Parts: sequence; structure tokens; C-alpha cells
Amino acid sequence: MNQPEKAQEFDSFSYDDDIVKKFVHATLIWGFIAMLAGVFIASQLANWRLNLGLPWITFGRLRPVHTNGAIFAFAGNAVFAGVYYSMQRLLKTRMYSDLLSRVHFWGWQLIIVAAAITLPLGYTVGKEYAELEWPIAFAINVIWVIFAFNFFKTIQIRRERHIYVAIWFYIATILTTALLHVLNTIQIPVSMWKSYPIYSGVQDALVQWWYGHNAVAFVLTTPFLGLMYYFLPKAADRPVYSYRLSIVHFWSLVFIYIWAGPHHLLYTALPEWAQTLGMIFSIMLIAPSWGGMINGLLTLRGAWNRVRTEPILKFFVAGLTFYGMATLEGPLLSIKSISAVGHYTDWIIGHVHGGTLGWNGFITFAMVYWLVPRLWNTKLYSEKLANLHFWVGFLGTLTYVISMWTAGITQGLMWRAIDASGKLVYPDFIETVTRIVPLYYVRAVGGALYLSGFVIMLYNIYRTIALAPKEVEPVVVRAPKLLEPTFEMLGRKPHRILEGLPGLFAVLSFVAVAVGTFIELTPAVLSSDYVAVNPAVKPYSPLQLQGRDIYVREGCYLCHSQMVRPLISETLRYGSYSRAEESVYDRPFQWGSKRTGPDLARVGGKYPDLWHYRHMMDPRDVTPDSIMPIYPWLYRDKIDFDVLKKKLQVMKSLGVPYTDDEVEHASDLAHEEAHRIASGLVAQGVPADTEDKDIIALIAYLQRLGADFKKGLIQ
Amino acid sequence: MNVIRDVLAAHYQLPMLSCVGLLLFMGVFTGTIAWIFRSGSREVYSRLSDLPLQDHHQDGETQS
Repeated sequence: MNQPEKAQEFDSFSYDDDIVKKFVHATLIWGFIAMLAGVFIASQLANWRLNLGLPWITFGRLRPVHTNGAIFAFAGNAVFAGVYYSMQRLLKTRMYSDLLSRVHFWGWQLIIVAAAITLPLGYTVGKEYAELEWPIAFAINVIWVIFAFNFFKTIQIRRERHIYVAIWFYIATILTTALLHVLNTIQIPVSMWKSYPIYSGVQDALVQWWYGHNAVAFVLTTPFLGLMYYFLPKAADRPVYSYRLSIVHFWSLVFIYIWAGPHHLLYTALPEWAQTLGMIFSIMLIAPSWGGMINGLLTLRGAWNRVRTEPILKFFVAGLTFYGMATLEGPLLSIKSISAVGHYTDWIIGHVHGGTLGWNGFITFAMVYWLVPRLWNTKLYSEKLANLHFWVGFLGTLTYVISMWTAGITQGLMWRAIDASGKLVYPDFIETVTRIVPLYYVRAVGGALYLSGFVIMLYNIYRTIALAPKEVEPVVVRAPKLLEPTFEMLGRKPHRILEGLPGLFAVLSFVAVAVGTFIELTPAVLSSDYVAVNPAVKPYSPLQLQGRDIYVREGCYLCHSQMVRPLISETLRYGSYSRAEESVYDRPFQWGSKRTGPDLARVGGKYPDLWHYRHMMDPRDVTPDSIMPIYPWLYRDKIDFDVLKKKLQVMKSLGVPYTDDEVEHASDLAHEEAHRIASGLVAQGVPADTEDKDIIALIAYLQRLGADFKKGLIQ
Repeated sequence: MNVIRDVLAAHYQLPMLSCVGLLLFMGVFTGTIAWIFRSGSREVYSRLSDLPLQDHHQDGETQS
């Protein structure tokens, strides 16, 4: 090793592989559940009847179960399995604390269970990939700190001075994910399962998509690159093609990625400079991303003949290729003129799934197929089944992605089509939906294929573990002790000392991501001039606020945007473009990211109350071909008037200009407004006992959307 | 907080800040390139890239 020979003493120890096994099991179990939920909600989009009229499995509540499950349960557990396995071996030491490893494992699983229970019940913050309410968000912070402490203490007790590039990616993941999650989940509780973010409107949008995009970067990219840099050389039995390239890859990726979030908000009310910054940095991302992909693929130089027969290498090659595709497509979609077509459409869904199914999924499968026989000291039950898994999964991914590309581009072009007289060619939004429903069926088939491949893997892994010997003695490893760097060593090789300083390295990594964060977010968070407050824009009435919370609870934002972009085709369809001041009291912001249904920013006053009443009862009553679910529980469940005072108190504490009188009499004000709306409905034949039902609050909110603008209060 | 805000607001209007940012940005990358091609780095990186391949020996002893 790199110690002076005379000082070498050897330690004997064993690795903690039990924790790796636990995370592998969790990856497989949660992966199945997350993918099953994905196939189910894909089928719901193809056929609305599959929502079954049940609140806890309706699309809006189940979609966050799928996304959170896929990201944090499936991919998260896979990352932890790979990290615990690889870092012990790369650092030649056992984890610092077995107890902390297990607290991390069980704490993470409890968080997932809590998410799987609360999300279907409608407890959500209403921000994508950050839906979990404050007690769970707080628990994530605690468990993450425990993981980080154990991780860095393990680095401290290592026996290998140098820190391999995979661990650099893990360090960046741990530090940046903590920064992202803490800043995006600062919220004030109203009750045990309800809170409001401290940011509002455009500020909330910027912070959320800074988080959202970097969740992709630092949960689904950097840790998987770390896994790739460790497990691909192992599987190919040759070192990474260029270690130098991996260093440039690392620093450029972490420095650039953090800036890219605003590309999710192109043509919105976000200030132009932030949009441009996000677009430029997104395009720059092509270079490090492709550098990493090429480095991975070239690692297989001289081993390509093995790709033909070995399923693990097949998964790695396909995974890296999908990574390359997704990281080219993402920057292209970040160009404003392309975003104008692709944003809010299924093109984005196709793009995301190319990355998650192809990159995260395949790298995970390669890792699991490589790990399980070694962890259980046996051989893989069937290489044929693993190959079958690959081809079924590959076909499923292609079917999914191509169907969504086709659906997205079709719908995007239909939305924009304007005839020679300057009118929309497809003025009815539903025309653009019915055209792509067949592709929703194709997508569901693609998802089902991918899930089938996963089930094949489950069977193969089950049989592999069943073949394993019941009792295996842990392998005792011997490695030389690591000595403190000496002046002699420092004089000879100073750069080698620097590369072995994890504390300094962690600080530099943090600085790399903090620069972009500081420059992008500081003006938004600190400057009250960022959004001009228009005194004509009034806060939501207590009943409207309650209706808004129902809108958030049902996940309406997952299918409807509230952001009219300044594009001719949008202003013709929806009305004048959205201004930042319109959402200044929106906690959380509800601009949305997908239009399975039309934008709602200007829906207030467009239809009478009775239209909304019938629409939520059965959307087919007013729009015959609608694919929206039914919401019968809104006509049964009663409005919680008692909580309104507390909600207004919290909003007031956040700066919303409610008067003391409004806060004190929030419940009375809501009763009065509900009575007014219900009276009008009852006069048109609606049952008399509707006044205290959730549907009334939701109607109050929907009729408010864009109302200030329509009254001429906003110019 | 107001002081911080005012200072930031003032600095965000400085065109020079963009130039400084650009130089900093280029400096980081040229510095990284210079660092990885420093004298004697080839042998170091060659050894580092072998690290993942050094941990699976049947006798249980890691390879130097």
C-alpha cells in the first residue's frame, strides 16, 4: 500500500454484509410495489373507471405513491445497498457503527411505510416529489443525518488513504440531498398532518424546482454514477477507462447540475434571468453527462464480446445508453422553443421514464444480479432468466418511452395549431386528449412488460437465495493499518495527501453546489421586490382556502396546471398569461407540470357553480369523453370549519394580510360563503344538505381562480 | 436581514459580477484540467482506478 514498508501492520476484520442484504431485500420489495402502482395509474389514465370511485386509490392520490416509491423506496434502497457494499471495500474497513446502519435501515423503511399510508389518505404538501407532510419530512432529515454521520465516520476510520471516485459521488449525494430537502421542506404546521410552506407563489416554484430537478440529479444520478464507477469495473473485471475523465466528470457535474432547476419553469411567471440561467446550464450539462457515459462504455473495451452472453453487462450497457439518451433529451427540452412544445405534455413523462426505467432501473438490476450471488455465497439460479428479464425490460422501456414521446409531441402540436384566420384548430381541449388515449393503453402495456421483467428477476433471485448455504462464516479480511500522513510523505507526494482529505473534499463539493444555490435562490428568498405585491390581489377567503386544500389533497395539480404561458396558442385557449402577483398567496404554488386536463388559471367564472358540481360528480356529464375520475366522496365528506381559524393564523404568521377579525371569525365567514353557494345550487335542484360538504369549498376555490384578473384588478 | 438584502440587491446590479463569475467558472475548469494532468498523476490514477478490483480475494487478504 502507500505506507512506508517498515510501518506496515495488518488488521483483521470482516465487512457488514448483513446490512447490504437488508437493503437488497427492501429494494426488491419496494420496487415491486412502486412499479405495480405505476402500472395501475397508467391504466387509470387509459381507462378512468379503474379509479373505482375510491378516494385512496384515485389517480391524484396514488401517483405520489408511485413517484415517491420509485425514487425514494426503490432507487433509494438500491443506492444504500450499493453504498454500504462498495464503501466498506473501497475504504477497507467495516462500517463505523452496525447499530447506526440498522437505525438507518429501519428508519428509512418506516418512513416509506408512513408515506405509503399517508399519501393515499390525502395527507400531502402538494409539491411534486416533496409531498410528504412535515412529521415524515422531519424524520427523513433525522435518518439522513444518522446515515451521513455513519458514512463520514467510516471514512474517518478507513485503511485506504485515497478516496475512490465512487465515494466522491456518494459524498456529493449526501451533502446536496440534505441541503435540498431541508430548504424545500421548511413549512409551518397547522396540525399533525397539515402544513403550509414558508415560501409562496413564484418563490415556492423556484425553490421547489431547484429541489425537484436536483432530486433527479443527486438522488437518481450522482449516486448511480458512483455505483456505476464501482460495479461496472467489477463486472467487466477491468478498471475504469479514464480516471482523469471521472474527475472532470464529477466536478463539472456537481457544479453545473444545481443551476438547472428553472428549466422546469420556462415561459412561466419566473423572472426571465432565472429562466435563461436554467436553460444555459442545462445545455452545458450535456458535456459532463456524456463524458460519464462514454467513460462507462469505454470501460468495456476488450470485453464487448462478453456483453453478448452476460446479462449483467447487458444491463450496464443499456443503462448507460439510456443515461446518454436522457441527458441529451433533457438539455434539448430545456431550450425554450422546444420546451414550448414539450412542457406539460407526455413527452416529459417519456423523458423521465427513459431515465428511471432505463438508467436507474437497469443499473440497479445489474448491481442486484452481481451482488446477490456474492452476498449469499452461491451462483445465480438462471442466467437465461436474467437474459429474459433484460429483453422484456428493454422492450417494456422502449414501448413506454416511444408511446409517450408520440403522445406528447402529438398533443403539444395540437395545442399550438392555429389556422389561417388566427383561431385554434383544436379549441376543445378534450379533442387533444381523445387523440392520445390509445397511446395511454400502449404505455400501460409497456409498463406491464417492465413489471413482468421485474417479477422474473424476483423469481430468479428467490431461487438463487434458496440455493445458498444456510450457514456461512463471514470472510475475514486483512488490510494494512492506515498511518497519519508524515512530513516525509507530504514532501514526496503532496497531492496524494490532499486527495485523501475527505473533510476538505466534502467542503469543496459543498461549495460547488452552494454557489449555484446561492446565486439562484437568494434574490428570490430575500428580496421583497422579487414579486411586486399588487394590493388589488386579495388573500383567499376562509372557504376558498379550505377548497384549495381539498384541491391539493386530491392531487389536482398532477393533471391541471395553473400557469398560462405567454404563447399565442395559450392565450387564445385560456385567456391572458399568468402574472407572478396572482399567486403571491399560494402556499404551496400550484402551477403544475402536466396538463392531462386543461389549465385552470382562468377557470374562475368560466362556468356556473352547477357545472362544477356536476363535473366533479361525473365529468362525463359535462364533457362526454373526459378521462377524469369521479369524486363521490366530495359530496359525502363534510367541510372542517373548526380548523379554519388555525389555518388563517398560520397564513397570517407567514405574512398573508388577514385582519384579526377575519382570523377570529374564519369559521363564520366560511359558513356564510358556503350558504350562499349552496343556496344557488339548491335552487337549481341540488340536494338541500350540500351546504357543509367538501364540494362547496372546492367550487368556491375554483371560481376564485383568475377572478382578480377578470375583474380588471390586475393589469 | 435588511442589510444583507440591500447589499445583495446592490451587487446584483454590478455588471462586473458577471465577468467575475465567468472567470471563476473558467478558472475552476481549467484548474481541474491542470490538476489532473499534473506531473506524476498517471501512475497515481492508474493505481486508484484499480481500487475496485482489489477486494475480492478468496484468501480474504486484500491486495496491495
